[in-house]
Amino acid sequence: MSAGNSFTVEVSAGPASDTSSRVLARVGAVALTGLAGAMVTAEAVVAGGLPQIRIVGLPDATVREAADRIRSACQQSAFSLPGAKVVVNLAPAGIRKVGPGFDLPIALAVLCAAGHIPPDRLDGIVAWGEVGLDGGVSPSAGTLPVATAARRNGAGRLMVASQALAEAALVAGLDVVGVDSLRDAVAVAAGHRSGARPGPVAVSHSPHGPDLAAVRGQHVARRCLELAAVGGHHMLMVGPPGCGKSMLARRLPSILPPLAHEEALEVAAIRSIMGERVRLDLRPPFRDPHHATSTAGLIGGGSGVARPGEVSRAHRGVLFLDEVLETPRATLDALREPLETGRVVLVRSQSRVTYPAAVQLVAAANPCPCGRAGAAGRPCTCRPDQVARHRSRLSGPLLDRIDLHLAMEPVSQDVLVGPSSGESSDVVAARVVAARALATSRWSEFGAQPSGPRARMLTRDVSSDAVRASTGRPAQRRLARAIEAFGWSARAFDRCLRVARTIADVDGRDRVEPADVDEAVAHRVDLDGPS
Amino acid sequence: MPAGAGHAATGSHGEQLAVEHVSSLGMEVLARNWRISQGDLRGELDIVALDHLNGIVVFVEVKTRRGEGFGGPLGAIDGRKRAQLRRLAMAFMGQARLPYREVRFDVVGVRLDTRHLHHVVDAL
Repeated sequence: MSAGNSFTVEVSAGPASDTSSRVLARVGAVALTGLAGAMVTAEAVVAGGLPQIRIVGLPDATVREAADRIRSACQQSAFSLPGAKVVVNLAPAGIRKVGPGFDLPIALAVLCAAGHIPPDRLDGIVAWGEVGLDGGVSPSAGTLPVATAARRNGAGRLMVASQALAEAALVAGLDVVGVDSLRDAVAVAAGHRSGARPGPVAVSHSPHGPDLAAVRGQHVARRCLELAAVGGHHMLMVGPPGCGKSMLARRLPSILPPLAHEEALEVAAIRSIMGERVRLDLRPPFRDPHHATSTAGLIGGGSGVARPGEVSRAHRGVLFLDEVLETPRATLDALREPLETGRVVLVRSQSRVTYPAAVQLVAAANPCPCGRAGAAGRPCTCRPDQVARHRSRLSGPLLDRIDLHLAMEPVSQDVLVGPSSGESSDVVAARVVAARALATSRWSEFGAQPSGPRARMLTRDVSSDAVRASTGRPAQRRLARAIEAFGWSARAFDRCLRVARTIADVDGRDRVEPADVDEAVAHRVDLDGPS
Repeated sequence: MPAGAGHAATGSHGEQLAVEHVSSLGMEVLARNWRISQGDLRGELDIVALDHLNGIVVFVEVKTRRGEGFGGPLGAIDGRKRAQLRRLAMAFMGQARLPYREVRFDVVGVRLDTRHLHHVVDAL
């Protein structure tokens, strides 16, 4: 009965012995903290002991789970694994490794240690992708910032899932290759197959969203919207329900100039770490978070490594806060820092991340809780103290940073039934582009550096010295008199002067006239009145 | 080995092969299927052997498979099993009078379908 003699017998040593032959395999990966990527090496070695894949080097739960995914994927792909322990180290061990993107580099290192890939074929390869139980490779969030980090650190080649190929290819000067499965990945790494190559970069820039032509009447509001588009000024609209506040705000992106290539990449990087499908989109983003959004939802948050909030998702675009007075004041005040600096710094116990947040704020509110204050027809039913409390939600410091205050009235009936006479978005957008070109060339002549890390020189952001130097004495004297009469602050002087500068730019004039100052003051006085 | 034999038969067949293998390496087999049930501690040590060459008590866990299993026969040993083996070994050392104090845990995986015996020395 004994069949012992016909058995093949293999005796292998345990961890106490170092005599087993060891293969050290190395594959590059990137550890992301926010948008910043640090290079990581996945090293694998076959150690003695019972067969298992052990991952060390500060992996989080998703990275540790990679062991089970990879084991199954190898089995499904008919790759034999060593009958011993494979230790994978993610070096340097001091950086936290998060997310399933580490699956692919770990799998390649393990397969190399198992002898399926010659070690020298993996030199200079950085990999990023999730491995499924069936051996398939799918995209993982953060491909774009990973590609950026790989390029900056001189990686020879980046291997990603085929579906993430277009996203990785947005980074110029990087050799990118796409794979669909573990078998594919091994064949490409070993040089038996060339792998999928990226096609030409697809860019979307066709105007999106609703057109300005649909807006009836509201000539002052249209004017304000155009000024906002040219100077990048933040804007507050106050008016009764149904007067068209949201309608106007949603049309602001349609008259904004398209993003520059670098700006579009910044926007795409944020989308990439949020795990969205990424392509190069030159259209400025438009985000309209609900007024019940939490502070963390608005500026970013979360434990461990904080995630971007709405203000960062609106980077280089428009952040529209409808019913802004319903938002808690503390939440709104958290916007002051990003509005000032164009970025958000989120500090947690384990990390400190910076997300870009150069947004144009458009806020809308009802004049009082019932919404009818100041409107003709039905009277307002609110008590004065209710109105006062309603308005106090918007803090002075935040209000101060909003250049254009616009009181809107309901559209009259004859305007509603008559033919739509407003200009279309295309017509206005052309004027905006011309006026911005005028402003940009002037600010670069002045050598005016915008505050914060911003690519654009917007009249909203350039230094106040430059703004003063570019406006004549008469205009400034006229503004000083108005400021004194209204009892406004020095900041109000600065903000008004910027709006006056933008008004002259829209009208194609280099000189700022006293009349421009009058209009700028009018756009500020509208709401609060002399205070 | 009759075809279609049950799990117990598979296991004892594998253990028999393992005993022959261990003996062929020059180790003295002291006990087979040593069982204990004492309070929380209950279980079985498949093989206890003496490695006279190195002066070590060797506890051998045998895993037998008739076909392809997830991770193979050796993959069946998890953290809980290791802890149990250690505690069983302590109990055995306490009861038996042994010439050596040093211990070692080996695992022998037996694949009956491919007729392959894999002996991992000092596995735990």
